[in-house]
Amino acid sequence: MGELWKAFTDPHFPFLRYAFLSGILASVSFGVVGSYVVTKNMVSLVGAISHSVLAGVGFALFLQHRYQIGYITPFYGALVAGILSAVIISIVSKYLKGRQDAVIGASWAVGMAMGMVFLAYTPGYIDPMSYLFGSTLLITRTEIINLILLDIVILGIVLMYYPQLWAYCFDEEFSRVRNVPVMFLHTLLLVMSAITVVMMMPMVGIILVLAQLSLPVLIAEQFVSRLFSLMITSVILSMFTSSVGLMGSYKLDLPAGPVIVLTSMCIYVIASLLRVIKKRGIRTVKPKK
Amino acid sequence: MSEKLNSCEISAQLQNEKLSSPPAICIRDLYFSYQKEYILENVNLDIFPHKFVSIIGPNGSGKTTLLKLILGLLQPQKGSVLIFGGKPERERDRIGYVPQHFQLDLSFPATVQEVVLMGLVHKKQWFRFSSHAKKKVYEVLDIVGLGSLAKEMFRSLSGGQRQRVLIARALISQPEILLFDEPTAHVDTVAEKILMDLLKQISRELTVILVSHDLGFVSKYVDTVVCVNKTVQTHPKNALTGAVIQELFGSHIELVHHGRTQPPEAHHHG
Repeated sequence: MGELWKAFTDPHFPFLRYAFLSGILASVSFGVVGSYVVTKNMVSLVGAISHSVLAGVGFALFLQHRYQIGYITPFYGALVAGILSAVIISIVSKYLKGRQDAVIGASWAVGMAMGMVFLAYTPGYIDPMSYLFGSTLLITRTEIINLILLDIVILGIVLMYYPQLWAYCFDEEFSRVRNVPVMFLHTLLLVMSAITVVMMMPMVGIILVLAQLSLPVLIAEQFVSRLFSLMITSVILSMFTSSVGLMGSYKLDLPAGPVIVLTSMCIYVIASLLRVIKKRGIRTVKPKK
Repeated sequence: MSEKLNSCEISAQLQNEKLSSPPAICIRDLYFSYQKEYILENVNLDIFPHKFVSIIGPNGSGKTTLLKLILGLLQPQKGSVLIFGGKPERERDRIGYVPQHFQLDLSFPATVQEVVLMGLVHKKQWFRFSSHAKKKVYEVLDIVGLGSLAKEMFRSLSGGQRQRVLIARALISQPEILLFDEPTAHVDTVAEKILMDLLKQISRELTVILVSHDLGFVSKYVDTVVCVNKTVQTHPKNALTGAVIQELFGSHIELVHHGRTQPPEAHHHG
């Protein structure tokens, strides 16, 4: 523990501090948006968006290295690609009649393919692994500032549209009859998911981000039963798992992303087992009465 | 459009002897298709305020489509739908909608009180609900007889209770028309009776329209039966004979009248 603390406070070694901070900051949006995404059953739509993000990363790296456009960082490329694909997937998921599942399924891979093509055109060799599975070395001071700004944007949107999003997630048709702008909210939710995916990307990577979006909510669901408390609990759980996962990865000298996801998974399994045992316990007690 | 309006007015005048108000719902020469073939053809329908109306028809007859047209969720290819003389999208505040309860995702975390509050959510809604709104939740829950369950989870209720919560959700915005999509589907017979008695009670103050493929309770509760099979025929409930049903469903169905066996006209003349 002392060694970890030393690394954490070392002025010449800011990576761990940045990684820790980015986990905490991204968790705020993750818990909130994740609660909507899980309760509205649109995790697979968000999966398609998160994979498409690689196209933006590839394009940004291509512009950076080929044309020396420094300010287009992979983070911004990912953000633009994420929002674009959120809008496209929102339209496809609402207006495409039939074979929707297949089209959205295919778009998971198409975004990645585009990203890989851009990377192949980029001079020099760039390892896509750090974008796919996360690398805490990618996190810089600018990224932390971006995370704070994006947290404010996400929380602002949720505060503004909380009742509408809530009613929309529960019953879309009824919301339409109440003149709630359903299509707008559907797109808004996907755009927010795209933003959160990009926020967590440096930490856990494009591929693993889906687990970190849904697992804290799935754990929280076992203990709380209101949307608002679900959000709060998910935020805390997401902060906890990303911090513990980060510490674990440092101790064990493993990549942070996979360790964070596995930490979440372990907690989910333990929580589920506890719940089953609790239920069984009640069942065996009852007949004695 | 003015022609359509006029025909609605004329129809209102024709009904003036019985009712003084214009039709709550007026449909004129309506045609609707999803693809090539028309699902609804030449539909003309007037529903007057404070009526209890059932829209019946076999599966695929277009009755749910008709419901969605009235709600303004679909647009007709030809003809018009007018709600109190206006477009359905504009008059939605005057319509309460009760969907089928089993279509909802029960894993959604919400209490009964919260589900009812969703009936007040609209375009410009700020984060919190007023205490007045919360008081109203209890009022409408009392109407449907579930006042004591406000704090329960929506998912923990029975099918019939869930349906009644959805009725409360539609009532809280004080609509003038209440539209039901198969209210008694997936509900047992005891709960069905409670529901229908409740609807009958509500229909004294509101226009109640329900879509159903179930003929069982039709003649017992409603004032008017609208038969849909591509086109629409309206019958007062006592005119609903086996022959009409046979024509509609294409098979012989024996109609058992519950309660009153004498049609009111005969009673009157007698």
